[in-house]
Amino acid sequence: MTETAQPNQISGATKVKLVLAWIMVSVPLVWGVLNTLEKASQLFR
Amino acid sequence: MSTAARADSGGLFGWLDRSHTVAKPGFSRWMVPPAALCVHLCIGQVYAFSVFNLPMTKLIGITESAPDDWKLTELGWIFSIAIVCLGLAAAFTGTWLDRVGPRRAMFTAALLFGGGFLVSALGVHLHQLWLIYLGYGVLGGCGLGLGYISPVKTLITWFPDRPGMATGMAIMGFGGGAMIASPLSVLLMDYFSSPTDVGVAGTFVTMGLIYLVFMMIGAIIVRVPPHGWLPEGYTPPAQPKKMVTANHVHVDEALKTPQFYLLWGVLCLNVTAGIGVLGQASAMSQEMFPGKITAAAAAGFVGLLSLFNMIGRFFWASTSDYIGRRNTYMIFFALGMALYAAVPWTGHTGSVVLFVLFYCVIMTMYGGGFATIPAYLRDVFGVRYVGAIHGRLLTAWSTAGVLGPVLVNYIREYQINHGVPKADAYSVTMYIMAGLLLVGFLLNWLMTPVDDKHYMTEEELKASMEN
Repeated sequence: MTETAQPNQISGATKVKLVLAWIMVSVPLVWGVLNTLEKASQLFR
Repeated sequence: MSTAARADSGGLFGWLDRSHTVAKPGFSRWMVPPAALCVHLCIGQVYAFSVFNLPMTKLIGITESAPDDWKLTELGWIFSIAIVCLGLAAAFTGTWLDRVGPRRAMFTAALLFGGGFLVSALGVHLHQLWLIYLGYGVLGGCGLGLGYISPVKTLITWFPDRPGMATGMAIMGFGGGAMIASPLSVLLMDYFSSPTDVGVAGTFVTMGLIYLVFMMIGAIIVRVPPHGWLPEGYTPPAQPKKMVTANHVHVDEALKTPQFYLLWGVLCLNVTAGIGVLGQASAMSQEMFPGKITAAAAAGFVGLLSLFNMIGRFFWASTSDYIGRRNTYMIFFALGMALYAAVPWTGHTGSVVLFVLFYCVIMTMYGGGFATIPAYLRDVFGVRYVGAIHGRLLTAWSTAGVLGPVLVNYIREYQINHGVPKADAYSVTMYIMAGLLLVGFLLNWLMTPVDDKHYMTEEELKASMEN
């Protein structure tokens, strides 16, 4: 049996979970990247 | 009783069983990369562990090291034990992980990694170094290895159309983890420090709990696709590419193929070159450009390398979906050779910009090597045992972790002891690294598809699915 993903079947609740999950991992990552860039800017001063 | 039945334990921890993680209709496969990132962003902390080394040499003396305080050389073993345990755990738990599924593996990794921090906090509190070796080194290291390989097969199964991109996203998290952990550790140590405490124990407890919760969230949201699932609109190519198999090789059989050892060498050499210079990046930049790169600027340089290491993981792994894994590694080795060989020239011309640029590109390929290897293994050995085979292959990383820094440090010392100026002491190292990449290029060039005799038969595959 081959099941296929149907994007139009993704419920509103799943979309909310999806956004929350990506925010949860993106926020700390962006914070880390910004910190790194700030430190790296010393190199070009 | 079948192994599947044994793996599905039911009871209090029944929710960890593979059968409970099969996605229901309406589940989006894009939930799986954040689940994997929850784990990899945490375990990537290992690259930032050195931030604790100096404070841990002042646990008794507080402002400066007391005679009974630990030495840096003793503390250096914590990281080394963790990396060795990472390799061993990845190598030996791959088959178990394949049987029990990603959720139980991620759950176990969370307990080990988070718990390792808590045991280490106790070690700091009691000033017992062996507890830190056991906690962060052994328990944390095993959590690292298990956590690193646990989402790989799941991602490849969810994204048969873009396996490189999918695993690249997760392994990018491992590169990014240090960028979060380093400033977080400094902030927490500042918060917990007092005139009588450097704040390491409090930081370990807090980070252990944060990582435990974050990794558990990953374990909760991860799902495996139903058997035979394929993404909408995706049809497996009727005529697979030459280097991409539609068959499957058993993990034990994979170890009997020359392809496994060629890929082992490819990964080991790519990592040896990168890890060797990464560990020396700060000192190297200051010694090659005295007066131009200060200590603060060198710290910025190291941060920049971490960033490009992370970017490369996603960029190269995604690119490999289009140009092929073998070609991607050909680029790593050919371009890497040229850049390593050109680094001494940037020192002679005094061009900091070119030096930084060359190293940033080198670091993208170092990270890219880690992130592209799971998809390469999938192409060569098939999907069925890719997680377990990946685990075995990671012993190449442990080997490179020792080989790279030893090579760079030893050659540098030898050069300086023989009167070579510090600014030129890295030239020979760079040429040797370029030579290692040449060997890597040749090994990758020798890669061919696995001989048909190693593929599992339909019956064997069916039996392995039932098990």
